[in-house]
Amino acid sequence: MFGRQVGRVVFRTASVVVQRRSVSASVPQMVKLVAPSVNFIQTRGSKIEVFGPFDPPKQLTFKQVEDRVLKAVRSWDRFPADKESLLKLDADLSKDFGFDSLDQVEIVMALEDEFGFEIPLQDSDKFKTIRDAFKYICEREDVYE
Amino acid sequence: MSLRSRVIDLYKNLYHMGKEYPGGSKWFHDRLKLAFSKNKEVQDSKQVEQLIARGEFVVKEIEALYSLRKYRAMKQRYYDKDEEVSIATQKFEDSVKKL
Repeated sequence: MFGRQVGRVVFRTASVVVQRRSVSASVPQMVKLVAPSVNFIQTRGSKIEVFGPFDPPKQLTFKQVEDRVLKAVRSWDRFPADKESLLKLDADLSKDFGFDSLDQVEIVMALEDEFGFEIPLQDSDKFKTIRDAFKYICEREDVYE
Repeated sequence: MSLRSRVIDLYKNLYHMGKEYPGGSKWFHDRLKLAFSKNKEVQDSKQVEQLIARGEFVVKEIEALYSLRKYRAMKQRYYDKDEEVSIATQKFEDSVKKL
């Protein structure tokens, strides 16, 4: 009989335990309640979305590169204005415009400012026409369409 | 580094520094081209070295000119008297023009 009463007390609530204790003080206190555990779900740092006012780099097209190359060459401050009609991709820098090596260096600097990367000297020495610069920039910027 | 690449690096440096020259970038770039074209027939490597050293001196002069101009602008925002700074600026500009 005593064992059965102890078994019942385990599954009772705290108030019942208190009542039983007040009724008969000789019953030993054997019941302890377990506090419930709280689950926290923490977000990893790698999942935080990066936001900001900057744009991701866009994929350039052949038309855009051509327009920007011709714009950079045209806006060069010593470009002859009377020869603007000759400005095409296949124009030769020395034959059609009469540029020497220093003028070519300045044009390469204008292209560097336009596209934002540096062209080494051993690469810019090989530029004979504007199309050579165009092909170099397309290869450098992975332009394929 | 070969002499030709050093000359072209010097030209690029001077061209870039002349973009904000107080006398106008067009004037500076024309004078720069003229100065380099006058010496394009030089073949002796010793003479080319001397000309490169002179060009590097001009680079330092222009750097000093820009620093002085910045200092003058900052000083004008705090004080009124800038006659001495103007005289020094004019002296620097004259020395650069003589080169």
